Amino acid sequence: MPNDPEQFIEQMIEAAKQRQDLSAWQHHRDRETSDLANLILDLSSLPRHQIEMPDLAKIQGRVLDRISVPQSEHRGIWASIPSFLKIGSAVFGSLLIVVSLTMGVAVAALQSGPDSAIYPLKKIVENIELRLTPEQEVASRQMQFAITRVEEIQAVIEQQQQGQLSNQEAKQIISATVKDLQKSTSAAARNTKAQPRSAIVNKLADINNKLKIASINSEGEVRIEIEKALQSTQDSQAEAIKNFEESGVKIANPPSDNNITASGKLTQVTESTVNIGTAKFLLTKETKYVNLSAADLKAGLVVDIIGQIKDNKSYADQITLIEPKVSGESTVRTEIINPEIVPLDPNSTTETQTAH
Amino acid sequence: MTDSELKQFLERAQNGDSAAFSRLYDEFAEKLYRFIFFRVGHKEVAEDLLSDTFVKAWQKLKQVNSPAAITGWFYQIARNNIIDYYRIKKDFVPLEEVAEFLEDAVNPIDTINLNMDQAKILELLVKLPGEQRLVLQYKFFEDLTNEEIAYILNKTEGAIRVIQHRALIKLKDLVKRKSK
Repeated sequence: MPNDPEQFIEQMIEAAKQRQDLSAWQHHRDRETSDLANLILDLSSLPRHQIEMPDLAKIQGRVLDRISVPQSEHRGIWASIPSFLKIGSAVFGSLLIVVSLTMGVAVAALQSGPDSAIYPLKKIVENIELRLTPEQEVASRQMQFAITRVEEIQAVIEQQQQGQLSNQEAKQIISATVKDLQKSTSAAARNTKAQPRSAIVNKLADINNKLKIASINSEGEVRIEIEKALQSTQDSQAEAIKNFEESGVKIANPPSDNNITASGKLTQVTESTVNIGTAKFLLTKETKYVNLSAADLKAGLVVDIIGQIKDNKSYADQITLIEPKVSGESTVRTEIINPEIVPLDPNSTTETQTAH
Repeated sequence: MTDSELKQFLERAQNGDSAAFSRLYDEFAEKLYRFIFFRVGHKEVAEDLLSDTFVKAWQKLKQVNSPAAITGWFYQIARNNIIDYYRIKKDFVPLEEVAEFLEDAVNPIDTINLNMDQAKILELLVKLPGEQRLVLQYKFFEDLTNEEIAYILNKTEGAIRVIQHRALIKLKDLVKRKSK
C-alpha cells in the first residue's frame, strides 16, 4: 500500500466507477492491494434496482408555484405600466371589488376561513388586490395577508381544540395556510431591500410572536407546521432587519426571542392559567397584577399580558386590566414590544419611526 | 452542468431569479429524489419531500457561499426533511434517535441478481460499525461523492475518507475470514 492509503483507495474507487481497467491492481503482488481492488470492483458493480421516476417537471412546476407568488420581481408587464395608469386601474379594480362585495358570496368569501369551500375566492380577491396595489405599498399589503393567515391559523387551532376539526383536517388546513404565510412574509422581506420600512420589521416580529404562542398551544403535526412557519418568518425578519440596517438605520433593541405579549378578552381562567383565545399563560407567584388582583381574574375581562417563554411554556409576568365591561372580540391580538429604531446616519432620509 | 454554469445559476438564483433556480432543480432533482425515495419507500411522500426540499433551498439559498458546497447542502436539506417526516410519523422521537431513519427503507440494490462474491459482501456489510456501513452504502449504492456524504453525516470530507478507508479494510478482512 502507498504512503497515503486513503488517497490510493479513492483512486481505485474512481477508476472502478469510471469502468476503467483495474487489472493491474487486481493482480498486484501485494495481496492486500489486490484484495482491496477486487472488493471495490464488486462493490462498484452491484446491480441496482431501477426505480420509477416521478414526473419531475410536474414537481418543478409545483416548486416554482410555491416560490414565485407573490413576488415583486415577477410582476411582469404590470411593473412597466406608468403609475397614473396603475392608479386608474386600481380605482377600476376597487370598483370591481366593491361591486363584487355587494354580492353575498364575495362578502362571505372575504370572511371565510381556510376550511371553507369558498375560501379560494378569498385568495383570488387578495391576488387582485395585490396586483392593484402601488409598488411602494406591496410589502405592506403582503404583511397584511400574512397577518390574516396567522389569524386563520389561530382560528383553526381553536376549532381543533373544540373538536370541530379532526387533527388530520387541522394539519392539512394549517399546512396549506402556512405555505401561503411563508410566501407572503418572504416576499415582503425581499421587498424591504428596495423599500426599507420599520413597519415591516415590526409586523414580522408581531407575527413571530403570534406563531410562538400558537406553537406552544398546539401539538403533533399541527405544531410542526407552525414551527416551520415560525422558522421561515424568523428568516424573513432577519432579512428585513439586514435590509433595513443596510439602508443606514439600525435597530437598537432587536426583538427578543422570549418576550411575548397578548391583548384581548380572557376566554378561560383557572387557578394557575389564563387564556386569551388559544394563547395560554401560566400564572406564577411572580405574576404582577395592575388595576386588578389575582382574585379578580375571570373570563370576559379585557387585559394586556406581558410574558415570556421558558421551557416551551408561556408565563404571565404582568397582567393589566384594560376594560372590565368591554364587549371586545375574543380573537387573539398579540404584539411584541416593538424594537427601537435609531438612525445610523443622522442625514439618512430613511424612515426612523416605529410604526404600529 | 459545468462549474462556471453552476456558479452563474447559483448567483442568479440567489438574486431571486427563479428561472436560474429552475436550472439547479434540473441538475439535482433526480439524484435527490432517489436519495429521498430510498429512505421513505413511498413515491408520493418522496415527491412531497423533494418539493419541500427545493422550496426550503430557495428560501435559504443565500446561505450557500460557494457553488462547490451546493450539492452537499441540498442533501442536508433533504436529510432534514426526511428526519422531520419520520419525527411526525413516529410521534416526536428525540433528535438523537433519528439518525437511524437515514437507513434505507428500500434497498437500492437488486439482491436477486448478485453474484456469489457480491452476496457475501452484502451479508458482511451489516457487520460493520454503523457509520462505516453508511459511508459505503452512500458511496457504492447511491454514487454519492465524499462531499455529499460529509454534508449528510455532518462531518468533514477528510473524516469521510478515513471512515471509508477503515470500512473497506475491515470489510476486506471479513470477506477473507469468511472465505477460509
